[in-house]
Amino acid sequence: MADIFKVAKRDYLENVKRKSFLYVVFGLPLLMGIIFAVQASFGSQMTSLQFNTPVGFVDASGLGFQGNGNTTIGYATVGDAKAALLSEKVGSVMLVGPDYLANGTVTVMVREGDLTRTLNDKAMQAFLVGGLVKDLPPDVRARIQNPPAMRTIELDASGNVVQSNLMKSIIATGVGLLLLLTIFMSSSFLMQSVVEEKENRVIEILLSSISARDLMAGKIIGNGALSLTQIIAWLLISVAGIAYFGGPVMSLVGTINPLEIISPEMLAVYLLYFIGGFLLYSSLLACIGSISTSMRESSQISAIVVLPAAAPLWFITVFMVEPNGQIAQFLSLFPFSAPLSMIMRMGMTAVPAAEIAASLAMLFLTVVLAVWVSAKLFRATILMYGQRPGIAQMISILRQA
Amino acid sequence: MGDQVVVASALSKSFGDTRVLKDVSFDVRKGEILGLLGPNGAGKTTTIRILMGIFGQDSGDVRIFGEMFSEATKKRVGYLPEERGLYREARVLETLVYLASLKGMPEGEAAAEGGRMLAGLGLAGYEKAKLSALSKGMQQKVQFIATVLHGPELVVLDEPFAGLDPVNTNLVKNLILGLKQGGTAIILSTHMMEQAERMCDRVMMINKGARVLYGSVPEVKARYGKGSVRVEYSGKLPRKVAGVSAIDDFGAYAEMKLDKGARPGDVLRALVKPGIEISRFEASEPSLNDIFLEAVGPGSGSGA
Repeated sequence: MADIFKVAKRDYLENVKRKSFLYVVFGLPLLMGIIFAVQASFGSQMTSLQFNTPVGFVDASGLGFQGNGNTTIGYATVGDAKAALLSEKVGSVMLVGPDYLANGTVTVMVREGDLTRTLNDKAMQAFLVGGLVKDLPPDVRARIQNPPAMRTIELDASGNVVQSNLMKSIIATGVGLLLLLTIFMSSSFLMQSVVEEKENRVIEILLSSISARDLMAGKIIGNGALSLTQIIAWLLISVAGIAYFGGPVMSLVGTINPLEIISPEMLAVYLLYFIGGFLLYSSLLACIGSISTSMRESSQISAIVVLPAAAPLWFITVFMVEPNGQIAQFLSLFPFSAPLSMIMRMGMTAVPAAEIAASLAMLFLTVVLAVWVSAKLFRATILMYGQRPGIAQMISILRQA
Repeated sequence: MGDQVVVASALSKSFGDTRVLKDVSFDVRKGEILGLLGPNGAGKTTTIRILMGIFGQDSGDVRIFGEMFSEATKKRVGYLPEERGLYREARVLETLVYLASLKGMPEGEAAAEGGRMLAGLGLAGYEKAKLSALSKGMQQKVQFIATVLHGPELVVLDEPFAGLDPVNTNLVKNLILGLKQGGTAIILSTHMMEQAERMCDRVMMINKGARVLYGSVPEVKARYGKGSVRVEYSGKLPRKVAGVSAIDDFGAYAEMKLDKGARPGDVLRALVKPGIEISRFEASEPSLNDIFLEAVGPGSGSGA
């Protein structure tokens, strides 16, 4: 046991200082922060753009639209309005026709090459709606001008409310992707360290000191701890980010209580999928590292293992439309794609507990098998230099075991 | 014998259909150097890896420190592999401490002793250097320290002189002799016959997986039987000389291998003839190198 922890400690300390690890841990949240910040500031620029240049209008409908002279300016004739537009007094001109009530058509004139003015849609609509409802009581007017926020409530078979909305599935997909990214980053560090030790022949000294089993176990634990570090770092950064830049971030996420979306039960299931996925992929990649003769070869082979894990992303629209359909069901039972698939489905719909249990059971059975196969192959192939064992040879190694 | 550190009996190992080791037996005693000799592919590294427990033998038995091999055995053994290398981007002392800790040495002790040994080999001040920044000779020294830092009772050195310049060769040679004097049992696998002849108490030569020679250096030489003579001369050397099996003639100097049982004096008498002037005549034992070539060269028999 002591040897396992010594290996784990070294692998952890070695990788936690890697530049690529630091880039992902700090760079990714930074990138997201920048995206949020740009969106937030671009959004407010758009708002100011809308109100910076006034909108002109010509009211032929007889409904009595009133400009405020500041952001909206009324003109008696189309000619006047055109002149104001060309002399850049207004950014655009709305022509409210006599049939406006009947067919709702409004023509908007802008200067050539200035089509972005139509981005003022919302301001124009607010003006038009406001004009129509100006005589109603203020609370009614406010509701008409701010249309309802739709919230869908899903009922399960016994009539209980199931929480469901788009945000929930987006968050679940995001969480699933981050977990997958974490799993693959630390698994590939693990693979790299195996290939490196093989390439620089340290492996021979290591194996003359400790058993192959302890070496592999130590590497898996060390890199697992690395994954946890990454997740904890991301959580801390998100909490700090939201606390510090709370406003713009929350306006995009909406007023959602994360705990309402991700229940403690779901968190527990996420954790199980994370552990299962990590053990599955790290043992397989350790094995690939031991089989490979070079770093390049190992990354080529590992692509075969990585593809199924990301498969649910190709079917994301299928998942959205039919989260309990056959494809979604299959992918969330198939151990190699189960972690991301099930986390995505759980965000989109209520997945029967029995199905989650079956999926987890299959995942962990596969983990046991993968660890066994990898440990055997690892021990038998780690000292083969310069030649990669063929499939037949690997099968015979497993048979002898 | 009570001081036997390694006893290997009838080791055999195959990889697929290839038998790489056939019934090889030997022992190594406390405070002695056993030379493991043989051409490339003879089975030296396989023998060593079985001893190190890196993989198991198909048949036969190995006892180290009187016990069957176990993970605990590994902690009492030091191993310098032929294919060398350490973590290139790691720091010297850090690497030494890590490898010693895997051998069960407490980290603090490993750091202190590692520092002392680095200084002893002229590497003081390099404790925090990255290995990639060191010269090849320096890296070799670091690797040697990594092999012996934890004070192993058995040390296996696979080609310890490969890639070393004469100064460092001498340095490493003295370190090995120091270990021997301290009572460490040493297995020295090498191609360098001269070093082996001078340093080893006993040698085992293997070829194509089988043991062809085994014993103390004088024993092996005596058993192999054939001495040689060196002659400096002028005139014409006869093509055939009674009692001589092969002549390596350089014009004014010749080396002659004697038939088994032939005596140098008889050869000298045969050479003293008109038309040849002998200026120097020296009888010598066969070198290990001669024996090696004889034993593993084309047309060699086997058995020892």
